[in-house]
Amino acid sequence: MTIQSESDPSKWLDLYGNFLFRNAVIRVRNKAIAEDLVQDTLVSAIQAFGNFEGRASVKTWLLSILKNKAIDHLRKSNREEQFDPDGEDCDEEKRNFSRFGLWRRFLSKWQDNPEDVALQKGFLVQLEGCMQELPERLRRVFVLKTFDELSTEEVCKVLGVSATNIWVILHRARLRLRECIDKNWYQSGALKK
Amino acid sequence: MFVISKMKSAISSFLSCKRYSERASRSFDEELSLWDRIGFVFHHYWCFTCRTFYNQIERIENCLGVLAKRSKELDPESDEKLTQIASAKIRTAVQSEIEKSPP
Repeated sequence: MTIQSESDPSKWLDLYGNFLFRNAVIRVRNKAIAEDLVQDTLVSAIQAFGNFEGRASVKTWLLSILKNKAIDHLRKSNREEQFDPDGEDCDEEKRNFSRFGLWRRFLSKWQDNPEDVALQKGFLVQLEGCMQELPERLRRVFVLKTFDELSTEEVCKVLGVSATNIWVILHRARLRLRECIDKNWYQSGALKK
Repeated sequence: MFVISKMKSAISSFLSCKRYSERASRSFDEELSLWDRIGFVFHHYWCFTCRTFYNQIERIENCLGVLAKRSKELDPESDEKLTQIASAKIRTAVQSEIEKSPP
């Protein structure tokens, strides 16, 4: 890829369209919305190209525009929903813990070797799948924290949720991810294939 | 009163796996307070299941970091691709914007 093709906006869709789309799907999950975000990103980038100083690569710059578009989308769609900490999302705590706060069942160790490259690759694919299966509210917080590297305060502002609720959401998301990996990767026999 | 409530919190995380798991999860996002850390560390050493839980979420956190890093790179092998219809629609919008914008 030459610098010349990078700076030609008519080439951006071919060069970065799928890259932006993949990142949009991670953030909003819905493919139709992800396509709209890619289009908005490229259109905004063309409008703002005169201000692009070239400090970062075009790819990094486009990704930062996409991130902001996705955050705006989350902010808007979040306005309509209120988080209820005792609501629909609290199954995983009941599933995992007794009323005395003890584990309902013994957790067995994951026996594979994280240094094994092929196994690690499979684990990552499984983890990505488990991320996509998280309930929307839990997934949003996780994406903003992990993929967009926002601080807790920033996540609170975007989603209009208190810091205490963010800890609750993150904890539930981790419980779910652990359960999902354990079930689909370690217990299903996928690891042995 | 403040010290008593903090001690109660430390004791509850010392005794309860649920409280421990909450502290464990939180420890990945921020530093725990002294009292929470005391309860957390005691529980960590005597409860095998909670230690296993901690190691598992630690691995998940590390792998999420790898996924986040990977998402910033071009990946031609990725299954997630724009459909031809979507590409055509976006291309039209991009072309029309290029024509509108001054060179």
